[in-house]
Amino acid sequence: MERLKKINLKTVFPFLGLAAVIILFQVLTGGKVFSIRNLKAIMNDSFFILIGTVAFSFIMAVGNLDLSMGTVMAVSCTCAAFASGISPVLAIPAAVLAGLVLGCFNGFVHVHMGLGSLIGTMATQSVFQGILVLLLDGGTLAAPVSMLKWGSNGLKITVMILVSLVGAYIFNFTAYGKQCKAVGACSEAARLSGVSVKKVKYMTFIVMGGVVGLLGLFSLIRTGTASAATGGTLMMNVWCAALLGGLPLSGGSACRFRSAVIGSFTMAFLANGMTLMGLGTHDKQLIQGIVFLAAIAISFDRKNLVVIK
Amino acid sequence: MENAKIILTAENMTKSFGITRALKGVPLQLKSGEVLGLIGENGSGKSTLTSIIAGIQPADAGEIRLNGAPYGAQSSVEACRQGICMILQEKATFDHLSVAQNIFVGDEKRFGRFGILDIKRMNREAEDILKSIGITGLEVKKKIAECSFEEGKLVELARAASTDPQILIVDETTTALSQNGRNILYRMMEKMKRENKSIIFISHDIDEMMEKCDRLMVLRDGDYIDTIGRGDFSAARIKKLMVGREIADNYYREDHTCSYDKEVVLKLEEVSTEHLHNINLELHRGEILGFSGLADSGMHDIGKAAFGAIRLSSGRVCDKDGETVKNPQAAMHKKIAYIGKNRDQESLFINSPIKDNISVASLKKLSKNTFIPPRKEREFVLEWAERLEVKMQDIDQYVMELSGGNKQKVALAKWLGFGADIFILDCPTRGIDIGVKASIYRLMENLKAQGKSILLISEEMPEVIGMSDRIIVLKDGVQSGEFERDETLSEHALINCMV
Repeated sequence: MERLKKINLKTVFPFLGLAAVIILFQVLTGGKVFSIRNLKAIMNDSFFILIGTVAFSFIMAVGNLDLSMGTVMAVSCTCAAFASGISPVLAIPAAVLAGLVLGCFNGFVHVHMGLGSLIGTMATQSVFQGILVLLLDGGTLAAPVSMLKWGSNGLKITVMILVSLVGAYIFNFTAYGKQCKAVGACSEAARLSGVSVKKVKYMTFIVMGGVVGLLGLFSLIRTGTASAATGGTLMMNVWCAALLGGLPLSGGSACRFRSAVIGSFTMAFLANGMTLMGLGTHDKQLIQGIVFLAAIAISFDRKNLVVIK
Repeated sequence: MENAKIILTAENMTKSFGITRALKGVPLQLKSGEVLGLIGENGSGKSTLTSIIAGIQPADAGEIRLNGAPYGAQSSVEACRQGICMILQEKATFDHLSVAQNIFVGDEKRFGRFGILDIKRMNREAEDILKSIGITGLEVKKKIAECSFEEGKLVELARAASTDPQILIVDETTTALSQNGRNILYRMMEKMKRENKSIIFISHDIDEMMEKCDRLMVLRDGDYIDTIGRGDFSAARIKKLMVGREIADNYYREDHTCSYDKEVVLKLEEVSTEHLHNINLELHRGEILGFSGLADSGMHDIGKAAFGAIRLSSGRVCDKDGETVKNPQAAMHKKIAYIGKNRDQESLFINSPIKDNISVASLKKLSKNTFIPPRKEREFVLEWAERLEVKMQDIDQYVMELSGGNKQKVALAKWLGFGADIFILDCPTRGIDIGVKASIYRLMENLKAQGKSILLISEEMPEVIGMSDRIIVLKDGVQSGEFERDETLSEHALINCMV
């Protein structure tokens, strides 16, 4: 009975959070949340958060974290901008490839150098930041204006749905998804059950890199430029979304894919609601920080305290 | 002895964990100068009862009186101060502290001088304590991380001795100890008895219990069953009380002939690891090959090496076609299964449902073009859980909530479902009650009859002798003896090769 109760509470909590955020802002803004124009804005906000969180959920299932995603996105965006100078179409493979390479490097640092993911990606984050500054040479890079037209809402919605469906399929219905959770539950037991722990861990970082690379491309399409500020909010948004959605920091079998989706929309509605309320960037940051703290405080499993690897 | 003073009484001890009622109103009386044995199957409530007495967890209801006064320690430190000290089944030492620091942990103030720790004096006193209970050859400055599990347990013994307890609780500690370590513990217990102090002793080994205890108190499913005095001890009676029905005296294999096919299915060639030196062996089809040795003999490395789970410094492991087994995936490709000694860390995801634990080795088999149908997975898991008679609510129950025996059944179900041909079983019945033990032995016999092979590594000699076709004894990482199945084979013969 107690177990059932516990699961139920943890299951409904993210849904309640999403509903609470929507209702709160619907009331505070006098019903502006569901206007067509605003829904488009929400879609734009949730695009980056959702896709980032979908990829991140695999890293969390393994019991790892990634601090470098923002800079990976910025470097990919910059590479895309360079490539688009030659030919706009080249921006696509450039962004994804850059992301894959950096993700691979993260995997190398974690798996082969044997550094914990938290400390390892903190270091790579700094390395990638350095690469970014070198590439940009202190300025910004613009993409050809023709590229801005790519960013139709139809494309974004299609990509969002596609990524979510593929993510859900892999997470829930394939050996790889189950192996990710097994590694998160106990990597030694997973290894002794024939799971190639190193490969699984590597893969989560590579996929994360590739997906974030894709986000870098969309960032370039959306804003037309690559700068040092690109991707600056991604990590906080994705982490918040994952935690609000109920993904446990310890990884393992308690990880649910729906957490990534619900959490992302909660974050998107939250950010959007604050904008509707007319809050400035700095106020928003403060509130988001508090939400992050609250999400961690609620979801952190103090009993089964596991150090993040 | 008959009229000895009662120093500890517990009445109506009750404790629940969620829906599991671990203790249902159990009483306990402990006389001064006696060894009281607590005996019962896994999950009968022995550890729960003693850990409440030792202040490790609170009872839901019930009253304890120590020397006639109400007693209710809130922590093990408090219990220790009142003279009750417990040695746990699990490891309870600090890896990065030295032996001496571990002995005096929590009591460092004794060695303080102007706020500075007098380490020299601490080390000296630690040496005295080790010497007083007969532990030799253990350097007090050595870090626990560099000590073996057994040495760690001995340090815990020394720690208990240093507090000079009135009541010592020993919970299933002897399984971790070699004969030498056991003797140290027994001597300590005898000394305490002479000083009119008391011991509560828990062990799965009925012979040991009958030899060492003055009275035996039997628990079953959280109920108090009976207490037997030393004069009335008999293994059959105790087993019957524990299980609640008659148990056949001999639950090992009944045949006495060494039998297996000629075909070699697994081969270790000149294998060396950190703890093994030049091991050669051949496992045959339909053979149960047993390994026996002291805890540090390297026998646990044999299982890991055969499964490709540890790096070999030289030599190789190969299957019947001569292909090398490089890693666990390769081993599984050759239909080799491995169940480790540390069940909760190596064999199971204890924070996951039974379903995830059983299906994990068979994901490839279950998937069709990458897709694993949830229904197919559930049916597969349910089938194997039921074949092994895992006692569970459903397959979504967390493994953490199962008893030791049922956990092991889940681990076995994983590999049977996988369809292994070679089973490497490292201490498969460790800390498991008689009922499940017997069913694991039946299972092993069935597997043998089906032509599967088993590498049985065990610290329990009767088990190795009772089940194996051939036995290899290891000493200091080297093969020191080999025996064939024989009615007359005694533990003595094995021990002679071990030490």
